[in-house]
Amino acid sequence: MENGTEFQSTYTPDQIDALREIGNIGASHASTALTTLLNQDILVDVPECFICKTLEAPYVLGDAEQSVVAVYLDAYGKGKGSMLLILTEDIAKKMTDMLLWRNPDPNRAISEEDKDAISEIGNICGSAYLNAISNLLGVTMLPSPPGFAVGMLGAVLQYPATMASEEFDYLVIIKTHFVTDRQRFPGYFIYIPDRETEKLLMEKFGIQ
Amino acid sequence: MEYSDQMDSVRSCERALTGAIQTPISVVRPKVNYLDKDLIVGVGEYKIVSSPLELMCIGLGSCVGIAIWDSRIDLGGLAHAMLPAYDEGKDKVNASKYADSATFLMVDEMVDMGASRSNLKAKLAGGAQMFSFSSNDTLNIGQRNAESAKAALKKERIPLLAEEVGGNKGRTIFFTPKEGVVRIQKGSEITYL
Repeated sequence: MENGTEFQSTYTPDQIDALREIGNIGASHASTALTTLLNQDILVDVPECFICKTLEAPYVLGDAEQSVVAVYLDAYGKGKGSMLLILTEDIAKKMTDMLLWRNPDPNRAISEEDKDAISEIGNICGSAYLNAISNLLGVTMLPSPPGFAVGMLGAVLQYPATMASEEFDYLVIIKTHFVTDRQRFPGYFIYIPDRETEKLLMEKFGIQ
Repeated sequence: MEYSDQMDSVRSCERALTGAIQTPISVVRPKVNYLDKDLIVGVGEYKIVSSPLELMCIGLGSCVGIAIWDSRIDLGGLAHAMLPAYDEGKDKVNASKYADSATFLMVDEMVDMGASRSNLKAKLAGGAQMFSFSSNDTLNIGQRNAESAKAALKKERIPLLAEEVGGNKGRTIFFTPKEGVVRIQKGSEITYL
């Protein structure tokens, strides 16, 4: 993880702890949802949570040219925001194979069937995170139908960065590990709160 | 700023920059790094170099890469713009992240560095729509970026010689100012503009 980029964050260490806590709550929700859906134990672990500048987002997550799979959700309701799930192709294919009861074949290309399955998995994980946040805040947040992308990490991240840069300077990045079959797969959840939801979050954690 | 030996030719251009700079839009001038060691143009930046140096943009998704060069003095600039229009944007400080204002600023700066306006030519790449949504009401930001860049080039009267925009795949582009060649890598597929 290249966390070496220096910037002046508007968040204090307490606030980052608070955001990590949300990440943990979301991860446990997502973990339960995935385990139920795929009928196999999947642990979602949150080793790191950090804030990064919107414009740097395409570069801080690692090799900007690596091929990834991404699912994007908008949140509607009283609390707004967006959610982006980024997975490596390996775990995406593995989860699809589990979901569709197929024999694992890690060397195939991503098919239309995979896209639908991954959108659904992303929808469920993203909703789990949104649920965690909305339960905590006591506001309703409903996920939009998922958008799907496969491509270079840098290119995929430009969409939320573009959306967010119109208003915000920072993104909340929740680094996750999906653990299954004693293998760890890296992934990212990126939560982009709008101003009001962010304020609510910080109030909830007693930070002004 | 880091310089290597081969960048001597650009130093004279740099000196020319110390004179008064006129900007069409009254903004705080964005921080632009010339001659960065790795010559990678980051999101919302533009860079200007002279041959034989090359510039690149990694992972152009909905962003557009605007390459403008003057073949007579081998000076070329590459902008990596993420949003379409300066007037519509909320951030008025970083003008280099909008396709239109980035074009204007870069052209002015190149003219200051010795390029002549009538010699400038342009090529355009990027503007893909990465995410496919089941509902089609989402604005296609990539397409809007490309359109805005084209309109800005037209305003500056710079001929657009070639373009590769749209699609749903990310691109990595390399720009050689000498010949004005843009090499586009889309996965394993390579095309030249």
